[in-house]
Amino acid sequence: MRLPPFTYNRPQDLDEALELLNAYGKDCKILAGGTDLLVRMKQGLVAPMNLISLKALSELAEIRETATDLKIGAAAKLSDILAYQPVQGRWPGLFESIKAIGAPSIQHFSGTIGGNLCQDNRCQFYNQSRSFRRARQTCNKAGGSTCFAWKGGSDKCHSVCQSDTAPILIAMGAKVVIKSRQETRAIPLEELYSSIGEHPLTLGDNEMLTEILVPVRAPGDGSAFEKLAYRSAIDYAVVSAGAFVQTDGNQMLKASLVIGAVARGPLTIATIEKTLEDRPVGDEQAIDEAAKEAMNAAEAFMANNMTQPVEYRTQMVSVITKRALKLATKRALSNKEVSEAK
Amino acid sequence: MEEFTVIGKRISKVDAVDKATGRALYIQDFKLPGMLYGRILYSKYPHARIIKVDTEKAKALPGVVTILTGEDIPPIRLGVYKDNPPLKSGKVRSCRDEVAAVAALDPEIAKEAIDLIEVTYEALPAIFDPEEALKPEAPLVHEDHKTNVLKMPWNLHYGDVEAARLEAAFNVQERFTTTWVTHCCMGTSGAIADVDNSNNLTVYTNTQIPSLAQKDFQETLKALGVKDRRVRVIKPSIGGGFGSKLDTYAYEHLAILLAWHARRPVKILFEREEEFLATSPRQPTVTYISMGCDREGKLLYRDMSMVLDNGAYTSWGATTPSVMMMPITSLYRVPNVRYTAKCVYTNNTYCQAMRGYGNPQATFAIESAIDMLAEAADIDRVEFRRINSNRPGDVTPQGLRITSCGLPECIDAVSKNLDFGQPREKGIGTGLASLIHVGGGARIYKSDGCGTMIKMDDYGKVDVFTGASDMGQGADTVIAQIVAEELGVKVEDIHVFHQDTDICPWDVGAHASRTTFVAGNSALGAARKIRLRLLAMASKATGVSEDKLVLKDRAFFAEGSPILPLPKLLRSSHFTPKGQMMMADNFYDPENENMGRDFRGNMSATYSFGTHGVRVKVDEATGKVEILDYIAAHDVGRAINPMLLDGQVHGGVLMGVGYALTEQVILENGRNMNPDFRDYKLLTAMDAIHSKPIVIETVDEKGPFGAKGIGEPGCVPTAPAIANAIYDAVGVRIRDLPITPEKVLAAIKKKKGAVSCGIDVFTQKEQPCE
Amino acid sequence: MSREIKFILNGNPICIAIEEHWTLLYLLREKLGLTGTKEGCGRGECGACTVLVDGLAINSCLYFAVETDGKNILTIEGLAAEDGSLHPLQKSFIENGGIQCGFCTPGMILSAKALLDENPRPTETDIKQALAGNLCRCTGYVQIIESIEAVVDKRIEDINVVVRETGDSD
Ligand SMILES: Cc1cc2nc3c(=O)[nH]c(=O)nc-3n(C[C@H](O)[C@H](O)[C@H](O)COP(=O)(O)OP(=O)(O)OC[C@H]3O[C@@H](n4cnc5c(N)ncnc54)[C@H](O)[C@@H]3O)c2cc1C
Ligand code: FES
Ligand code: FES
Repeated sequence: MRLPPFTYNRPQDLDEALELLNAYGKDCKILAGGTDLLVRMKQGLVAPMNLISLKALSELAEIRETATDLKIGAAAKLSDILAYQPVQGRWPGLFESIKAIGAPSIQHFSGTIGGNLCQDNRCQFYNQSRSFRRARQTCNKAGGSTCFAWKGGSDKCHSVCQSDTAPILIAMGAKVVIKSRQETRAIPLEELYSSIGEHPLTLGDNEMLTEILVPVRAPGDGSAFEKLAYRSAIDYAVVSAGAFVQTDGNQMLKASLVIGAVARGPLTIATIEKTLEDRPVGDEQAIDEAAKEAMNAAEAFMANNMTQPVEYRTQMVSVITKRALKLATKRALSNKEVSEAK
Repeated sequence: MEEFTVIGKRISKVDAVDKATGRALYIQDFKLPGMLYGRILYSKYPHARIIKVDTEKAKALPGVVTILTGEDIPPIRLGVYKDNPPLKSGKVRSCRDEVAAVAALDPEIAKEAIDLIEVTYEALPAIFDPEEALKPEAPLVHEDHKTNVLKMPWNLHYGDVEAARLEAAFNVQERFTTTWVTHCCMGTSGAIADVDNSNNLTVYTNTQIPSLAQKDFQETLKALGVKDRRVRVIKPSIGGGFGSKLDTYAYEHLAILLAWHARRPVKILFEREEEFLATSPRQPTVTYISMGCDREGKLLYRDMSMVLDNGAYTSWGATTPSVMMMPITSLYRVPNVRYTAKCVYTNNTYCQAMRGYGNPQATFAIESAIDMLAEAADIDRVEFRRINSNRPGDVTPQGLRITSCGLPECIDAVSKNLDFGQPREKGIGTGLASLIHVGGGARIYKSDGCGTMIKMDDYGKVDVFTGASDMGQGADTVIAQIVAEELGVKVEDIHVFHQDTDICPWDVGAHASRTTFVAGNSALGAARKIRLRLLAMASKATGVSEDKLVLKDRAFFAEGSPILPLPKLLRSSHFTPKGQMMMADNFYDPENENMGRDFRGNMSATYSFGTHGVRVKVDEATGKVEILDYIAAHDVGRAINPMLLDGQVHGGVLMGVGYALTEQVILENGRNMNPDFRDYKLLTAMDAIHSKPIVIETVDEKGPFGAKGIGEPGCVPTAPAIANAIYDAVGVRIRDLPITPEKVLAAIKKKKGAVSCGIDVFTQKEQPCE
Repeated sequence: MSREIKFILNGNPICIAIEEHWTLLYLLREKLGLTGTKEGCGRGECGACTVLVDGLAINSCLYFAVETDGKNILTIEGLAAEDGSLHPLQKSFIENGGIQCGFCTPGMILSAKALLDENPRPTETDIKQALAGNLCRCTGYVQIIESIEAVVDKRIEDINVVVRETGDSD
């Protein structure tokens, strides 16, 4: 299938890219790997007049470590991140989340981390061909005024954020660097998401994501990503969870949990930090409480935006939460540097 | 055991080189000079009156050549029941109803034109539940049919089920359902139609029934007022069949109609979404089954009734009960059987044949219930099956004559390995299920025949023209092997033509796993005619008596040494006075019977059997089921090509696993909600199951070199084997396919006594929260 | 907008004017007549359109032709040696039953090639992962995986390939 015409730009450096972005503004889309964008273009969900390709921007493809962060260029390919040796050992949650995306062979060699974080929200009523959508009224996300995913309709769009890397990166406290021609800002990744289904990102028209900063691993911390899908590949999450904990070997010092694939943005379960703090490591009851909190928080957002039933997905939030927290805790305990720190 | 040179060998598919190098041409790859691209507008509603179709804007679009609506075409009716016009007028009965068709210079223009056609509808009340559709107040899908129930009375009663019920020591009574699943051929559907100046028609199309398609297309020409013209069907390489191509579809006829009007070739090629929406899935069923046995575990009766959601039109889905009857009456010995099935019109998509043709649906109910009955009778499930196993020489209540039968061996082979050498663990369980399937053709039409012509040239190269169709399963390879064996040449000496009705003889089509048996026997017969002539000539030329001559490796052997090269003999055959050409033809029609009015009749010349065993792990927190091990034993008569055979089994098993666990076409008020591979969960390489195939060779006396059909059986017993294993693992019985994690979890919770509220995953009804 | 791009296609440098909105799949199939690369979905969900770009397996249906400028593209048509002798993977798929209807085959073989070039000794899991984006309805994947394992084990020697002189199978 062919696509409607547009102008293709391949800037040779970041400044040129930002310049173009500034000039085109609304009428333009950034093209990273294109594995999300092209599908939406083919379905007639977006029809940008201009594309700015990041392919020539080697500065955006870099992956390196500093004293404080793992720095990943926004246009780094998923396969390159997986191949970057330290990731698997030190940021296992990130490694798992990338492995879980689409199909290892194909999305990974084109898909980028920036594209993964900036992919549009999804909904079973929206991410469909024009003819499929024509059988119904236009929904909020497509510029209309109804929502099929919300029982009884809604004036809000209840699409879901399906990024697999966002939950774990947020849980680990990652920051992102956002640039426009005028300005550079670094914000917590969480703030990239607007929680508005119609336009889920807080990026301005002239802004783009250039870098992801993941804090280096500290003694006694551990991360894990869990994804429930019906197949082993090419499958978006039914529910996912990114967990990050820090322990002193006996007690939980810190914990954060972000649920993916349930809400309009990655869903941070802020309360669990308190719930788990100072609880003994391996306290099943604490984990149960946290899981319940996650489930309750998620329930409010659950919409019929994917083919799996809402009730089931809600229940799974609890199960996946427990698994992610336990695995993260296990990793925290085996984090060699724990003993050294003590 | 006989010594064969080619039979029984792992020989590569004859078309594999072209496929491995990208040279094989599929319908996707064909382009004719001047060709236009056709596209179809489908209905917006599941049930509505068409008030107006306005094509003005579309016609004005530059590049549009022809637009047709239901009003523009002569009366043409497709399908088994002739209830399906290729373009609808008056009313639409499902969301896949064709309302208009466009031919344009390129596919994008055609698409745009489709978007510009304005149709005014008046929505009508629709019916989606087949059991609801039975009620008198239900809206009628076809008014002139007066009822939603198809006039196909599937109804049999052999013996006395009620008397047997009273006699039985143990009984089970259950309801099972299966839903739509679809073929997912990797190559989407497509056709090119070309009408020449004398109105001869050529259709390039993906079909499993070239000869029957030829006749259907002939009818369409006739409706256009053209009689006695040639219709030629050319079949490119097919990107998968699995039964989807056993009927002609509206798109093929629309290509013809558009080509006729445009006087240019027209190609219609489905996009993936269209493939999901507008091709016909497997027949969904609601099955009520009761079954009973005596104290010793001997089955006394089986009583089944079904309601089949036919959808809005009638294709082969509606006749699947004819095959379901086979397992229902004849899987295991059961003296008293009753079966009734109603096919009901609804405003859903209409159904087609799919690998196994009703057998997987019926076997799911039967084999699940067998396990339940064994448990009720407190008899080991393997033993229970052994007690009731079919045996050679049985004549079943339906009159099926079981000749070769390896079912006891299959049960043994699987049960011996059922624990897969692993200790029992919590959440892990095993299950098994068996199958019977037609293995020697299936007489559905008056003829179950297939023609072959063979021509041997001066160098011992052989052209075989067969009526059989290859969709990737390797029919052409098996035929080449059979002919090569018989004529003492190598497989590479043989070229099998199967893709063109102008060249190839008649055949009823690639269904019912019949190709190896029927086309194989047909080819064998033709080859044998040539062989006999060759032997006579060789005997004359060498002075060695015919019975002392052996034809193999491209030469005649006497007492173990070659005495006359085959090519030499061949050349002399026409370089002599009264010379002859080496050509022969043969039509083979197996000795099977049409079913009588009481549905009795030996529908197949022989039957295939099999047993599958599986070990699963159930994640009790998520309800996800993981297949740990799989074993599949099949009685295949003889494995003509073990490699292709394994391929059929592996492919069938994974399709069966998809049927059991993940695949479903989700229709919501008649609308397909998952027309892509993202939401239609076709299993991936990461989900692949390394099943262990076991081949039981019973060497059927009627099969070519003893072979029986094996195309379909691989996916027949998979779902019940898995359902049984899940029960063994966690004690819950899932009666509705697919066995999705949410169903398993809900059942586990229910069993533990935990109340769950919200939408019940089984009934789709709302359970109030306390 | 149209523009000219240069790239290496199956070992040969080519220079061609394209439209910017063409996908690589469209360019290959419709403009260059290389129909060995298949379209099974057009949405990145099936892998039938897999080709190698600078050695990496990508979905050509989700890749703009314009982005191949300066790159090295390999399609199934370019895999056999110049004298027509088959690549070991092609041989192995043929010999081990890795091919049924063949629609997924070009993509499968190229995904496998990308894997073996990167990792000549993959485990079964590595192989399954490498093929995870390539759907196949016919084979259940088992003989495809075996075909690749056979190449890894160098079990591909003399094979039973049936090559007809006519060479067409349509
Ligand atoms: C079959 C299939 C399965 C998939 N499965 C998954 C899955 O399981 N999990 C998952 O998370 N995703 C999945 N995806 C979505 C997608 O492939 C991945 O998310 C991928 O990582 C996106 O990266 P990309 O570079 O290709 O994005 P692109 O398509 O290039 O971009 C995505 C969006 O982000 C914008 N964008 C890209 N880079 C930037 C930047 N630097 N700054 C600002 N905006 C930017 C683009 O304009 C676009 O709107 C799947 C896709 C397909 C086709
Ligand atoms: S055609 Fe490209 S992935 Fe299916
Ligand atoms: S061989 Fe048919 S899809 Fe793979």
